[in-house]
Amino acid sequence: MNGHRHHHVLGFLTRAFIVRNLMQNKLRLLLTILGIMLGVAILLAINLANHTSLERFKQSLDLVAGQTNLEISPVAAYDMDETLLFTLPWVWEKQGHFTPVIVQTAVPADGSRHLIYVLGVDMLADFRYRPFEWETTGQPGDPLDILKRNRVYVGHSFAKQNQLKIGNTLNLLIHDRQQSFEVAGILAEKGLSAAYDGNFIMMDIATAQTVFHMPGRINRVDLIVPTEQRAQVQQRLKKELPPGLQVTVPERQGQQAEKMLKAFQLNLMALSFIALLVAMFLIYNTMSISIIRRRTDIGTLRALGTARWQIMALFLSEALVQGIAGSLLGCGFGVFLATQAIKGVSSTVEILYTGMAVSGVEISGPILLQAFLLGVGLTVLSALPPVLEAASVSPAEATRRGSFESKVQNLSAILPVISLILWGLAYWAAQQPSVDGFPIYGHTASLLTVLGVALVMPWFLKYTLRLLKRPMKGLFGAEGRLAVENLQGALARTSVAVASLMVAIAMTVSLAVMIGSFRTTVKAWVQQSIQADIWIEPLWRKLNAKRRINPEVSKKIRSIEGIAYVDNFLEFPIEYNGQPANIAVGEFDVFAKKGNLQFLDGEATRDVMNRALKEDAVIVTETFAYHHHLKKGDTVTLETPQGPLTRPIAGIYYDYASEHGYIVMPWTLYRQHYEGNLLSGIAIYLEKGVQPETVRAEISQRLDNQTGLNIVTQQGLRQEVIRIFDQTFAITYALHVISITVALLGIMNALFALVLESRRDFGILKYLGATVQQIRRIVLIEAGLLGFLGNLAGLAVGFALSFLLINVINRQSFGWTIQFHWPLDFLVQTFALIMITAIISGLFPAHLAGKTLAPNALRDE
Amino acid sequence: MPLTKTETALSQPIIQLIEVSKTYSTHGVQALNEISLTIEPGEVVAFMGESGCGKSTLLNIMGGIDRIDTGTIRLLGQEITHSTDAQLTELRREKLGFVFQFFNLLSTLTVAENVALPLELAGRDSAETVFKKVATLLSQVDLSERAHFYPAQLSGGQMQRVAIARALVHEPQIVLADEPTGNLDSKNGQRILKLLTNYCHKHQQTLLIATHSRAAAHYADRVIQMRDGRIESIDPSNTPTGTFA
Repeated sequence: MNGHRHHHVLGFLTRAFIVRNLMQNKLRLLLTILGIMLGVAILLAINLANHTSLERFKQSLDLVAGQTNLEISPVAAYDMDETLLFTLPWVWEKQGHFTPVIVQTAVPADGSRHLIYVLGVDMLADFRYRPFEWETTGQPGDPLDILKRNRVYVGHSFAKQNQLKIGNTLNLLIHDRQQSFEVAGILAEKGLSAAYDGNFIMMDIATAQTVFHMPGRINRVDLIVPTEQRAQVQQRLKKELPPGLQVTVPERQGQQAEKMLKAFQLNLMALSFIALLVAMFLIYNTMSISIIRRRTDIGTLRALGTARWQIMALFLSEALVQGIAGSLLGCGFGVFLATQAIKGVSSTVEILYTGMAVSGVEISGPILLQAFLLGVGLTVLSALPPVLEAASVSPAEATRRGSFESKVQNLSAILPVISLILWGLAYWAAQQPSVDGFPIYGHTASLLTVLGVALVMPWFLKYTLRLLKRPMKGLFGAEGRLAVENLQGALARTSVAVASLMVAIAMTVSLAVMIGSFRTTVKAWVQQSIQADIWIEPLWRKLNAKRRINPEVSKKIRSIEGIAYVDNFLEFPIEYNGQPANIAVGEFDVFAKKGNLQFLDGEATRDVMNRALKEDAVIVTETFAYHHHLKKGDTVTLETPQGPLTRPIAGIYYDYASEHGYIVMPWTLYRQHYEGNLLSGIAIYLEKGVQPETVRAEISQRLDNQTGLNIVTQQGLRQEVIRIFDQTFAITYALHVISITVALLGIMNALFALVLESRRDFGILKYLGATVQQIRRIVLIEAGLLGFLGNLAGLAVGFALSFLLINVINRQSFGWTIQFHWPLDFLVQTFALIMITAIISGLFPAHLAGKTLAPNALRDE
Repeated sequence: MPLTKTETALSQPIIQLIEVSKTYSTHGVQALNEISLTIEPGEVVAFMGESGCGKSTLLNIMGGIDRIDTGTIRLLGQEITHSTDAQLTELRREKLGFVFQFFNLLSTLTVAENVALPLELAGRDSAETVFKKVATLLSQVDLSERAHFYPAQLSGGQMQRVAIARALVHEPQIVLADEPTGNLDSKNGQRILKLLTNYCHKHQQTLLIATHSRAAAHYADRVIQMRDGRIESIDPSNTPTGTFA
């Protein structure tokens, strides 16, 4: 009975207090919902884009793995000897099977920029591992065709995209050469055909070995063993496999992919969270305004016997409604944004990690639900402080006009103390190490810093506005001073509006400083470390480091006049202590003479290289040393085909090519422990005074204008590195444009609230002879002031955050050392842009203020 | 070209209303019903009647703050019936002063800043002149020592004195006071009325007071009784030039 009465009361109060209020403030409701929507949408978009790029890659790995339940692969080498297969027949006794596999990539010779994954398998036996069907019109004519050379079997979507039919010729750039293939079969749409987003072809392993210059070599052995035998077979293989090989379950490849992308994806997620954080300020802003305005009513309700919990339930339901509406819209818009974000995320993932292009977004129910719940949850959470405050006040206090404002004014003296505590905690957090490679404490430190600044805002504004009163009057007359007074009189609201803009600007500024610093550092590094005059590499090597050049190329060009040194270079991805890493091989003697690596301890390249040559030592990059906690003089142990190789580290140098890092060894050491002589690239140093363009032309001619090679001069290569850098960070900028938009919605929202609150004052001003223009000007000056103060605080906090980003978050995620650099032009542009947009966001509220009818405004009283 | 105070006084009525009607469209309430009225320069007129009789609307209309549906209004010799918002704003800024029941001071401004506001909005006087005018007015309303106080730190009577100083600081020809004593006790109310009427008489300013207080009517040269948007009676019992000690 009692419960029923409570329901009835709450229902009545909700209708009278919440629904009517929302209906009367449609515009502000819209702005708030828009803010939540954008926050949720951006988080969801990034989450979906991340999820899609990783899941598609993992699905492709699964599709290619097929029924395989064990895999043999090299740990720290590019490929392995196929004679391994002769040692495996005992697997048959366990009712198991095994088959060799080559996984490589090629590029269509038609100029499209995406890689095609090439699977080289035993076409007679492979259906057992990777069941597939032929398309009705894609059946191979003669079953024996599969054994013929240069026949390829293409996936359904690849065939469709390229309008391929049986018997058509397909030209592919394989390593450094163009090769022609005949399409001998087309796989049906389902299953294997969908691997690598359809950019997938299959060929017989013998053909693959020939065209990829891998005679007698394979990348992997796939095994199918009965489940009950799997552990036993795995154990025996572990014992009997030659050195440098590992036996793993196929799921491990997916886990490796996750590991490889983890730092990148987690940091992107953290960045996308900013928009939501800014949206939280917006909610807080809206809810506090909405509650402050009705504080007297709350007091009256309390005096009439409404319980505290009823007041809380009322206002939380208001937040809940907005949270649900904003989050639902955010989910819809987020899916749309994801289709845009996937381009940015996927191209970075493609270039830096998987080499696989992804199109279309994979909608994931759990991710949608997570974004929705997060949106609703954070909305309610941001509403909680003002709601708790409203419920806690005594009826007498609430009915007093301006009691909340004076509370904030009084609190403005205490809040700085809390801020100091938060900053102290932030300082402590910044000193903590990463957790499982993720800089959780670094992000916590950023959050604490921002919170600290948000809390100190009333204090900061109280004094800054006081200082601004005189200059503003000087600049804008009575309107200038009235604007300052209005903001000062509504310190609670002004603080939240400025704080939300501050958060968005701080994040943008810190990222701009970080990216600007990173770019400058990389530019300087490129200038220093790319000393070769000409660089030859297989086309699209940027997309896949496994693409190779035949060493014959190096021999052919060596005798060209004007060439002083040739540095043959090889790199391949490996696993080091279960983490992704890379091995690079180079001519250390050439490096000693011409190289210019920057070593951490400042030692000259020549000295390090000579010592490394003498001691058969390796050098490692800063990132590798950081991730594996190594220092100069320590040793690294590699699982090579010849057994474990332990070598000392002769030096650690700065490098920005891979976050996972490199172990660089001289060719002499490589040849003792590894097989294969293919190259990743050739660096050419010219004699003094020789024109690179002349030699480049000569090289081209010598190589018969070989189409699969990219011959670039020093300048071209340097530009290429910077181009890739910019492309990688493009999405980060896009994320921040959205955060700023959310913050500007906050400003507009705050201005609406101020205008609403100042209706009476505007009415009085009209009685006193203020013109419509004067009243509009007051609102616009307020907007400008909010923008200016948000900018000012944002810049200051942004600089503090950039220290955290560069020295803690980046360092712990990627291990790079970044030199500080202030991107002044960007900062000036941002400042101006925010000022302009802040003033623009004040236009409509100003218009509304100008329309205030004096008698009505005073009658409302 | 606006007329000077003396010219207006000599030549014609300061306010003239001819068959003025006003209906509030939102509620369909007829606030004023064919009101015709003439007010002479320097006159103190009290409009009396119950709540909702139309006296505040009449004041707003004479103050150029609200518009009429039909009829004609002449203010200071000029017809303002069809004046633009900008013209009315200028008129208010230059020639009119307002005093309200709830004081309507800006809470974020100090006493001196509130008083200075009309001068600052007009932006004509130098800071020094503004300072002088404000100081003079504050001393006349006996609030010099409260110049740097905020409204929240004042009593009701003090707040209304600030509001009066603000209404008079730019030397308006007409002062419109809407229930100036409605929010004050009788002692303070008397004091405010005395202050206002004495000042207006001394400076030959026209004072229009909307009130339902009999005591307030005592200070007026003429008492106009209103009912349902019409003038019920006019009582010219007091002399226009009388002052109160």
